[in-house]
Amino acid sequence: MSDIDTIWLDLPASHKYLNALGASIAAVLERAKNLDDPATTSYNVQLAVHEICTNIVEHAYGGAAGGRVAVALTLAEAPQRLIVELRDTGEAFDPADAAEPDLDGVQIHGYGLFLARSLMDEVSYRREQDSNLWQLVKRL
Amino acid sequence: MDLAITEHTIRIVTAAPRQRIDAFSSPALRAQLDRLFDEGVYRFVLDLSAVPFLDSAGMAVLVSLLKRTRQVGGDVRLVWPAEEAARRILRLTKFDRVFTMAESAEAALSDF
Repeated sequence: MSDIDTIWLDLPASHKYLNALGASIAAVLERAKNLDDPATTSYNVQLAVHEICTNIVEHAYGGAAGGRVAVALTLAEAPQRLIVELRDTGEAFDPADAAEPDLDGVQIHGYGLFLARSLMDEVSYRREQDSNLWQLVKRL
Repeated sequence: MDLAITEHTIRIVTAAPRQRIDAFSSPALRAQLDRLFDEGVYRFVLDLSAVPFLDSAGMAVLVSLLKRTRQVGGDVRLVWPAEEAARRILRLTKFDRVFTMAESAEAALSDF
């Protein structure tokens, strides 16, 4: 993997420009080779990343204005995969806040992280000094 | 013939969003649906056939309306999105078991 295959986005931490993130993911995936089901793969990755980003906006920054989300999209080879890293400087993520949804019941919240974990091959989180770093990987 | 005839009219509203339903757009959708609910509409067909993208914030709007309507004897029926990937998400989250699903708004209406 080289930096040349990484696209960097620096987004305001608001819901307003999440569509720009989705469009960028779609554009990068257009450069991937031999995808089995490009439309579904693109949709699923966009949704997974979108959910993490929404989480950052609402929970890490608590909806406050002025925060930023730095996103790195890397199309890596051998094996071909898309690596998405999201970094923010909001509050630390607390896994206790992210219980799995009860899929046999009806609930209003709790699907975001479940979707991200279900749709990606890897979802990891770590706190680095004053930053939150999420890494999502989709094998292509 | 001593015949008492009473006619009942049941309101059913079909709402068909034609854009992404995500964390940015869902507050506006929620406000419009809540306004209809407050006006006394308790039966909804939400036609998702032209919705290209649905996230968990959008799903929260659907569940929220479902809960409110069922509390007063109403219901929300969903029309499947045309987008196959969006259909898969509704299956993954088992929304297709919580909601009564239909292939078209007409089918959803006839089933009410």
